[in-house]
Amino acid sequence: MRKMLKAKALFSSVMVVSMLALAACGGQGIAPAQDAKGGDQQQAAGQPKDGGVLKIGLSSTAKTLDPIAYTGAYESNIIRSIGDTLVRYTNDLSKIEPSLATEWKVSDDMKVYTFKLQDNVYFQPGKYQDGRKMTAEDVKYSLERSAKQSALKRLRGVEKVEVISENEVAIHLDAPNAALLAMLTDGGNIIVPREEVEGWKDQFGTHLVGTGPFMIDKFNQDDSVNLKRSDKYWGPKPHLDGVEFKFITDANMMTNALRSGDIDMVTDVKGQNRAIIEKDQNLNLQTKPGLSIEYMGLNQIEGPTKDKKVREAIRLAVDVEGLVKGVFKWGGAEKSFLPLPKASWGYDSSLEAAVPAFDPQKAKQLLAEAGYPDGFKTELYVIASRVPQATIAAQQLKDNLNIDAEIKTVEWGTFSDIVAKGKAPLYIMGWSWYPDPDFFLYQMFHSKQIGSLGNGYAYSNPEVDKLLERATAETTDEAKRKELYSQAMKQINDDVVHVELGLLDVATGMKKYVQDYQVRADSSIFLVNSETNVWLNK
Amino acid sequence: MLKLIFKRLFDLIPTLFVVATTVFIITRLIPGDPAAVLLGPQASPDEIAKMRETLGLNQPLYLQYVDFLGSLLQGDLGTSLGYNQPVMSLIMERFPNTLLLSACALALSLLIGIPAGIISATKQYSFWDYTVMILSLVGVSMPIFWLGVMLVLYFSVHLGWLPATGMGSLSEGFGSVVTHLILPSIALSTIPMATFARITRSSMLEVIRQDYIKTARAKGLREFFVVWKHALKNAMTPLLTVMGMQISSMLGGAVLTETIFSWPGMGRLVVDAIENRDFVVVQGTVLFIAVIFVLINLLVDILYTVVNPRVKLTNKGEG
Repeated sequence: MRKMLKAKALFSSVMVVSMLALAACGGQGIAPAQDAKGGDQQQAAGQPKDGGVLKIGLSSTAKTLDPIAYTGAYESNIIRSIGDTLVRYTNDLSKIEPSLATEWKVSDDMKVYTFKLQDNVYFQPGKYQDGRKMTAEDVKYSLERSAKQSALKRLRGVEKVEVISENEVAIHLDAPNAALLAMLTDGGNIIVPREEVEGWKDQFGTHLVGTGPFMIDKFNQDDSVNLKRSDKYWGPKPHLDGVEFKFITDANMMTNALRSGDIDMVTDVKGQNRAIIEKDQNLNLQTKPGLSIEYMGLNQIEGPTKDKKVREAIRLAVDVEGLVKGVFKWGGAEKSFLPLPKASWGYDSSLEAAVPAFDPQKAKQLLAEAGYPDGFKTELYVIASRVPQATIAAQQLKDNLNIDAEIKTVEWGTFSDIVAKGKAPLYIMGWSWYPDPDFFLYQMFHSKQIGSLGNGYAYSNPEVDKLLERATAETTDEAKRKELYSQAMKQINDDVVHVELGLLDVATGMKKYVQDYQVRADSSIFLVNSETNVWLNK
Repeated sequence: MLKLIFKRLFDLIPTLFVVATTVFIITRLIPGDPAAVLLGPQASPDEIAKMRETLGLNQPLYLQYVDFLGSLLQGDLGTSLGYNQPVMSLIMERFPNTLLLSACALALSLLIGIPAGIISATKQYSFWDYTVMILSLVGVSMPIFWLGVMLVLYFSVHLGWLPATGMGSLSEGFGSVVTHLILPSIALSTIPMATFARITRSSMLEVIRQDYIKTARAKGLREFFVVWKHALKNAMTPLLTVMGMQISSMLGGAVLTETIFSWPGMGRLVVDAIENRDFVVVQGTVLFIAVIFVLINLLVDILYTVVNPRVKLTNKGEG
């Protein structure tokens, strides 16, 4: 007995010691939260310094950097530092500005875009060319390659690219398209030299060569990609000697790596990690409302939600504000009203008033009118990362309408399959793309998209179809296009297709010595361009 | 002996055939279309259909199976859908990393686990015995992912001594790899270490009470020789069995450890492949691990005969 007691005492002391150790780890330096903005920091820190390697953590493993083959946003973030596109969005995404192209014009029928190219652009030296000058032929080659072979169709509707002169190309479209420039800003449409592509073949993805500020030094599979400064860069001379992108798939370990100094910067900070980074005196958390929205899709052609009254009832029965607060208790999202993020130029805040507020009484009444006074059973599909949203939404539907929504948690492959085939009665997912409304509204609401993930609820309204088509085919004038999109969104809101949930932040955590980094709403990482030139103050 | 080893190797073939078939079926049974996953949320049905064709997914399942077995016979594990590279070369790039991590963890667990078990057994019911037993109980029940995060919080974030993630590279010097290796090795070694300590203890306790140990002591042999030479050798047999099992499960533990510590090994490769429905990589890697598993078991069987000459390898592979 005495021996047992001894053992117990020892056991409890071991536990106490380990808890103390944990407490010590958790309670590090508490500082007031900072709402930092890139520009302010730079002024505070004085003159930019040259040198140093910036280490950036990416949450997924980059497999290939080939512009036509890559599939993830994290891959495009590396590509951004290596290559350039003809045009680019400014950091605030308000307009498209020149990059490799200096100017452009659009034909009256909106089917031919003509670009003048810069004259002083050179490729990074590689195995199959020694850093030669970029020409119009390279633009033709790269864009046609993208148009024909891109896995994700990053350049749609291009018939051919014509070389007009050494410094001039024309892109011919098969139909008028006002959203072409937005597509051209995609990392998949950077200009690459043919020799390298053809020389490396399948290996080009790990030996990407472009015209950007940094070039590949080493590609360590599953571990990291090292870039070094390219002396041939046509833009401002980068302050950094190089960049290292490290792949860290576990979100908590990513934050730990940032705190321990393994990396200097992490993108896509979520949940409690926001609070941890905000509290750390050596770190900054920069946030901005992003281009990502979350919504609950309501099946339009099958099950009880076929009835518009049922959909309306569901929308009224979900307390979105409460849901967003509950899910994002550490911040990182706000209530979303429209199927378009605020950072898009097409966003029309006057439509917000037309979105009905939370009203469980009216919801119940509508559901009874639709013939379901006692609710019904249904299924709510989500991927694991959105289970919190689903749990709260299902609880609210149960409490307010007695709808039993069974949460079906599946992983991405299954989810996309079930949703695209229109087999999910209810589902919660997110959407994120270019700021041009075409990439949200056409994808999610045009009847031609039925059968793909965007329009997984099989929504079809000829009037909306027509408005969405006109918005890209009639004019390139943003104001006029915005008006057409507003009309479409008004109709979509009346038809009750979504319950809009959260508008997500882009949050980047970084060491305080990282200077002049500007967080972008599209969460892409630009380290050196006409607006920014990141440096390290250490 | 050599003949028997070959016989055992030959016996591998049906085992691997069953593994290959099972893996093939399971990876196809999971719902979810690799083409859709590969193309991402914005793909249209046409594009998905085209991609399915490119990947050969529109062929009937039995044809895919025949293809798969056919290439397998030629040692070809297929080409990854995501990486667009031969699976064998993907595995071979990462296997040394997993091997390095597992070997370090194994060495650590043996070097600490066995002596701890011996001390525990020779000093039964002492303070040291209790300490080892309690720590080993904590050890076997500690989830790797939790321990991993705790180690990083303390040694990387709080003390700043060791890097949190990654593998380092030899180009930054040997020390870079060593420092990166420490935390994941500790995390991966905890469970086997604790298991070795417990097994060594119980096995030693049994042996120590036997007559020949008493005889050895009565001969006036020093306690050190009695324990390490006479007792331990006979206590080794159960330890070997457990060791074989632990090495195999270490490959499973490596999947977790590698994910937590961003260690670029096979574990991460397979987790990533499962998420992306890259079933060519999944089936290739699982097959590869199965081969290793079986080979380790064979090795353990051979080691039995070395440790205990009374054990003979038999034709039936009973070991």
